[in-house]
Amino acid sequence: MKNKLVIIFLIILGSIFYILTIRGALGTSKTPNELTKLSSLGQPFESSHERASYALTSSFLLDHSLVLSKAWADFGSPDVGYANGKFYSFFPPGVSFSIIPLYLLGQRFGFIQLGAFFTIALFAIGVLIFLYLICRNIFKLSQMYSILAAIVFGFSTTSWSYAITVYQHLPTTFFLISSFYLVWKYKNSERSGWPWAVLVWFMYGISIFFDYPNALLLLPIMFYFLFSSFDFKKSADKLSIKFRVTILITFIVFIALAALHLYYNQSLYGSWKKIGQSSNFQRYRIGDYEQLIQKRADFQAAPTVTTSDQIFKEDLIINGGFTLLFGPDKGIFLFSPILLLGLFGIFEIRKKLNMEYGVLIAILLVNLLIYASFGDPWGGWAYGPRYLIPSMAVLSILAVIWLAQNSRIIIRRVIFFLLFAYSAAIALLGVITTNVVPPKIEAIPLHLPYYNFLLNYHLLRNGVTSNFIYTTYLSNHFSLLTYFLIIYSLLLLVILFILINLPRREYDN
Amino acid sequence: MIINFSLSSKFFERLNKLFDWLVSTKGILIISIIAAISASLYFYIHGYTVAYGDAESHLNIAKRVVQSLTPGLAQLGGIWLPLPHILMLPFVTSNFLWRSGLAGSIVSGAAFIISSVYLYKLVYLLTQNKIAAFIGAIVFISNPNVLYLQSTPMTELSLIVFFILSSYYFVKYIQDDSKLISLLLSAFFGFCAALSRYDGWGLVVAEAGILTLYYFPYRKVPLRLSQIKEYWDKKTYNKLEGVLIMFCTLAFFAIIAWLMWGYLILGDPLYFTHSQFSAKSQQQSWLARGELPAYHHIFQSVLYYIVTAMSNAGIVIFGIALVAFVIYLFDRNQKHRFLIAMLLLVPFVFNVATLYMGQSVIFIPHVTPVGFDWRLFNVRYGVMMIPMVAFLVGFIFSKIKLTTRWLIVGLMIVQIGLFGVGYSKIISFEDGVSGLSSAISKSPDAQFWIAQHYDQGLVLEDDFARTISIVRTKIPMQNIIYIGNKPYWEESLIAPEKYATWIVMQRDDALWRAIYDVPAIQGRLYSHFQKVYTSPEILIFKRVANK
Repeated sequence: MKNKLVIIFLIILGSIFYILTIRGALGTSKTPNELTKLSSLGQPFESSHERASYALTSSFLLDHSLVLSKAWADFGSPDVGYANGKFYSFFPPGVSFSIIPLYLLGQRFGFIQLGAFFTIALFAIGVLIFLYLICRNIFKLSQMYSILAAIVFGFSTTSWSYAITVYQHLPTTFFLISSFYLVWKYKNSERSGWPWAVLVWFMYGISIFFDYPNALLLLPIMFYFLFSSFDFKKSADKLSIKFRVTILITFIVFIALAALHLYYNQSLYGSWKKIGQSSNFQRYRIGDYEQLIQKRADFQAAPTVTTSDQIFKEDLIINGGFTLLFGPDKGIFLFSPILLLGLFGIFEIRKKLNMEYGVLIAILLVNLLIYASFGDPWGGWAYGPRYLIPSMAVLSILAVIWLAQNSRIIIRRVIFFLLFAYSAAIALLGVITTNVVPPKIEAIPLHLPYYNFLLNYHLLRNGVTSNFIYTTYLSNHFSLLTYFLIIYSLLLLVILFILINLPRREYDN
Repeated sequence: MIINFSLSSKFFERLNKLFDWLVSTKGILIISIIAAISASLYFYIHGYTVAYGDAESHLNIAKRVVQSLTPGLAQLGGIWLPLPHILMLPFVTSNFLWRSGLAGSIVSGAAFIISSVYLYKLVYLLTQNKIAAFIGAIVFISNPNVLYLQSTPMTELSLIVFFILSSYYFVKYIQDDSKLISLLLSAFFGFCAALSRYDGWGLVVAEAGILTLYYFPYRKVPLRLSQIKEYWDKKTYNKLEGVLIMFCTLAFFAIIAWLMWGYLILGDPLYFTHSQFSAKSQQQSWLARGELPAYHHIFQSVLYYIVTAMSNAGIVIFGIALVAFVIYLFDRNQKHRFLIAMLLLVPFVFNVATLYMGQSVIFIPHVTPVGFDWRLFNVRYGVMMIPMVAFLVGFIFSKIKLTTRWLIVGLMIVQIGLFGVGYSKIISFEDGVSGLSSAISKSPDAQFWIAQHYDQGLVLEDDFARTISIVRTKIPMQNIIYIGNKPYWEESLIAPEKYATWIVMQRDDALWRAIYDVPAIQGRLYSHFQKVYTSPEILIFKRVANK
């Protein structure tokens, strides 16, 4: 099977599962009032994260303004900032702008919300493709193993829950994984490699439009990019160094994107240094409107949104690290234990550590370091550790590398299958029901009985969902649980087929 | 577009020479001297040398030995071990060096420089790799928490230097037990460590224990009673006996001497453990408030100390050291690796044990509950682990390929960057500046008042309550009456007017309870003194001129 056919297979597979699980409904609802009806638990706009990003898109397309009207601010609240009498989305504009093409397509054919949401699924499919290419071309795994890495990430981690709604995590992962692959292409190109270099800078620059911490998250790749521009050769009497100036010349792409970003800040917030989460923005809550208007001057004097106090503090790392890795409400290894195999994968590669493996491990560490040091490692009310989605992609590669070792093959495959089955069930639970799951720290004082996937199981049993396919076509025929089991069985069949057809010995090519 | 350039072999020869010099003992000596002087100057200029409350107490103890109402060695007291104060004696005779804290900086700085050099030698001894030894020493030298503490009169660096010296000679001995001089030197520096901080006691006990294991008189484990005699190795036992007696006589003499000192001077050999000024007594109030989380809780004790060590070393460096530790333990090429690991783990075991027993307390924001009164206290104890961390980073450097070495160097730079951008706080410095250990964050208005208004005469104050900072006023040490000035102190509590011109008291301190709370004495106070300063917590009285 050629790579192109595999890529087509992954596109089809990804599209099937993402369409089977996407939330929402057909229609052309686009006013805040209409959309607010879709903001209860399990609905496509259940989270303010989705609403605020979508509000910016709608405001831009319908009101031709990046400043939100009060109606859109109410819709996006509380992820909306207020300053100088204006409302802004808290989030950088990348997600909101990226969903515009499919929003417009949906407007034409009657599926605005579904179209907009499917944009993120396209990023997710992109991640699947690049994971395949990385395994296949960089780590020289066979096709089946490479496909497996893509499927592990796509459908046995909680990344699935964020692939069918408007969050920034899948685009972030796409930029990260694709940049890694592009740098490798650049490194191995025989000439200057400028097309790859342009793309790397483009990915880095554009990623910051989607999430500000991406500037840090992609740093290991940018260092990889820099080191790949040097080539050392030692002879008897001298050391020759080659340096590809391409990296410097193509830097202009990043400069242009950065300038565009600063211009956006200048024109929207009045200063190129301000961002949507700057400390001079007051978080807007619906009931606060009158108070905000009356006390406008006070808000500038007494800012309440101080992100600098909440991020990047070592003090927080113990709590944050435990929460993200092992926490009963968000722990990555509780929600997706198959990724534990990724840690064993690191152990397997310890003796053949090269720059590419080093970069993967560095991405894991930087991702964990940034978000474990964040004031809100839980990611608010969310399903699983959403901030670690980029790490899930990396761990998927490493898990498959563990599987591909030439010893105890049967045991490895059995363990892999069992962990996949558990992880996929948890992943599917979230995607079928809701992403709005309270962290333990909030659930206990609020006397909420569930703070992890048990809530989703409860909702599944009670048929709470806004799954497009199920609610539109199937809810009259069978229960949500049956629908869950159909998708789950389909997924297990795919994985069983791949596991059975894996080559007996890996690394033979 | 590609740029080509090449470097000739001559260039590399020159570079090699420079590099060889840099990674030698001389190079480390020069680097550590520059680092010590620069850091000390920086913290002195910014006024942080005597930021810790304990820093001033150490200076004052040394000062009272040479200049006070009742000078003499008895002023060394019975709580803190005496060697760091004795080392400061030549310097505190200068009022400038005493008041500025530089008397302590000189001692700590010298300890830092010697520590750096001997850490280099220790890593070299164990790896036979100069670059690894250099990297190990650089981890120590570049640590901002160490750099801060070496600029102050705190006693951590005094312990660290003797810990490293004793460990270096101890390792040298167990690598070649024909070199008895190494064992003697180890015992001597163990003696010094045991007179510097109580952690030193743990060191000498551990060294004695390791010697016992090293010369364990059984080469096979006896499984039956009859084998106890059968496997007994008389020759090894004799050697153990001789070596232990030699080592312990010198090393343990410090402990015995200190117990005798307590008995002779203070009437109780264990005065340091249970007097009202002991650390344990001070922990009782935390315990009463339910804010002693590690007390009788082994998991919390381990967690608190690991996090404290991590925060002092820097999270990235600590992570490398953890990986290195696992590799070290599994590296069969490392002779006596378990014995050496035990030695290097002494600060860890000691601090966990004292936390568990309630003899000490650490508050660190990473794990201390938000509801606690204080969340930053005593975090400098974690600095004791930095020599071990530095050794481990050096060790792993010696075991890896060139490309991974660059990764380690890169991570070391990242760690410095994390300290630089404030992600990793320089936590021992923060504690001195704004934690519960800080004196400068709690300087009362009364201190500024008396600094301006003091003219002459004796000042009666409860030194333990740290009502005012003596070094920050113009009061000469010989004009202070404190609890250690017999009979001035005792007589002043009955007749305050007998010696003192000034009385400084703080609510509920020893003077307040003995003078202000006793109506008869209070009457006497007011008949001879005038209250010249009042605040809700502090009162200052001045003798009325004509009485």
